[in-house]
Amino acid sequence: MTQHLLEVEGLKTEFKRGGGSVTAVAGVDFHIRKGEVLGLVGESGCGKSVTSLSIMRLLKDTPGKITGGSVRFEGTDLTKLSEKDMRRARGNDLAMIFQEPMTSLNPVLRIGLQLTEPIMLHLGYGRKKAREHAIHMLKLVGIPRAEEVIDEYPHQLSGGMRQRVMIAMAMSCNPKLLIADEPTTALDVTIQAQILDLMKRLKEEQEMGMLLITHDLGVVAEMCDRVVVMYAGRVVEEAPVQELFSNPKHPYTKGLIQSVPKLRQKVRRLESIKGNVPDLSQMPPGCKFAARCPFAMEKCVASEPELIPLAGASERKSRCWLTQDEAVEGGDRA
Amino acid sequence: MSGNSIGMGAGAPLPAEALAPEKSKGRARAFFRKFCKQRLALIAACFIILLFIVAAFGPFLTPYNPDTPDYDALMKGPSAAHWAGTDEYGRDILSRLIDGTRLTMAVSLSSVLIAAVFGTILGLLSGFYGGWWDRLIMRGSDVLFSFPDLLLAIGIVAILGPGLSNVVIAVAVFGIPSFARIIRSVTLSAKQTLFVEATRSMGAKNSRIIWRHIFPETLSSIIVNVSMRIGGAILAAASLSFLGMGAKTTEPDWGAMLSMGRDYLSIAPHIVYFPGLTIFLAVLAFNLVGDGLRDALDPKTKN
Repeated sequence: MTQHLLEVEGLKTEFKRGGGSVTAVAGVDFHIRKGEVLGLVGESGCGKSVTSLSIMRLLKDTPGKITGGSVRFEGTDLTKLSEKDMRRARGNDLAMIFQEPMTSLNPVLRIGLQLTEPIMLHLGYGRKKAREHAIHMLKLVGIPRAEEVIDEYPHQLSGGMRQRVMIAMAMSCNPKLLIADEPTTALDVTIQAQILDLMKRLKEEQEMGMLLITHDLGVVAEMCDRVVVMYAGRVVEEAPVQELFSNPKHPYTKGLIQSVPKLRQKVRRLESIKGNVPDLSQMPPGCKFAARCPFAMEKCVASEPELIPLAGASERKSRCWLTQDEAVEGGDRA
Repeated sequence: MSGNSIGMGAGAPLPAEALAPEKSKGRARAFFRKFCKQRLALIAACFIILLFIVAAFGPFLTPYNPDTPDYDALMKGPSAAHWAGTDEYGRDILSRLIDGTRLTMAVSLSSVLIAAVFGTILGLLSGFYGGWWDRLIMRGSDVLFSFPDLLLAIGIVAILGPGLSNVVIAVAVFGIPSFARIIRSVTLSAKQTLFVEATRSMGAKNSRIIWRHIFPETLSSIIVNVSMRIGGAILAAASLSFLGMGAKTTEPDWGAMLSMGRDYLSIAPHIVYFPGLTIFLAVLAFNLVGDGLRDALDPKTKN
């Protein structure tokens, strides 16, 4: 088996709250190959962002802590790296783009200073060379007047421009993996398309892997090669993007796809998944989706199914009792 | 408003897509406009500038030698020759006040700056790293806070021995916890911002994050607290000198002058009035300027 760029296995992240602790990510497995875009989908509070922060080990300022599992990046387990080695990896091998372009740049520092800092740090360039590289990056992400913009302050740029700057910053040291946490959520639709196109183009040029976190299935269809669907801190389905849309297996995925409005469909009301995500501190013992699932059986409430590879297609997994009979004969249980 | 139009004209030509109304040059201008709007703070600032000038050029401004006694004019009230009268040795009080300005400013400024430096460092570390470090620093501050300011200063001087340099240390020590607390709270909110997280995600070191991203956020709080504390430091230094723990009685210190004049309060009250009035005005001026700075540096207050 070829080595994957990123391999997340049984990742578990807990948050201390009051006396007890709450499990935000409960044993998540997935992998990303070189040059592949993996979509991480799920509704708010299902643990998508915590998963990405765990991979980057950016939970230090939160009450959160990785309590189990491993995150192997090119074979090395990131969870076991020293803080110093992890810092060397951040921005260099792994880079991240955040949801809010308006606040992810320091408002009192010039663009150039913020952009050249990681370049000087990771690539060891001098001030002048770093500045040239920064201007080159700004041009690469399609910022007009790059030579002027580099001396401007963030408030002089629009949201879309700032997100371009963030992408330029993330891409400046040629990362092998880019984690994009809802990169287009805060932007309006035309700018969204531009930013997505840009990310796609850069990804192809630089051959990097990408973890795209989103709750927008349109973005998933546009960008991703494979998709992992998360619910309540768990992976409930994994599939190549075409198959996810044409033949969703898990009822939750079906619900998600049905709740996207479709053109030329004459229905009064949009389908939605009834109910809410269960409270993380009071998880039901069985399938976490059982309470909202239209197909729930007695078995679902009693015990939780495992994430099992399905027969017929490559890299298809589902965590549902209904799909257990489709499981690969003797398939390894994840 | 005329100031406004100049401000707009001086800024770099605005590109069409720049939405922000204020450019960086305009910010300093906005600060001055806001500050000048506050009449009292402006007058107080002028008084403080005057104090600095007097402190710098003191020896050239004194009408008489502040240390030369004149036994023909003992404890004379204010007159054309001696505007603030003379003390029990016939020394010109105005000259002594002018000469003492340098001493007072040096003691109060240096003690507050020492407090600001140490307090800021402790506050940044405490807020940024948290944990036992934070607990240690904050509980230490609580201990210092629990003493009445002057009592603590007296205690420190009692340990170190009297003298102006020890007064500086004493006043600095009781200023540290106030800086540490203020800076800690600013740090706590600054480190939660997304740009700090984004910088961390690019692999920046903690020291870099603190210096580049968090320290600048704390600057306005530091400036305001410095100007607020100077008034308190003047008062504390004068009190210690009054109690005989600071300046020697031969030195032209405001507090020491007050202390010496106390004995003659019933026959020559002007010996006490003028140093007292000077201390009062200086403390008031620094507090008013502190208030003015706080309002002018707060981006939330509209001009």
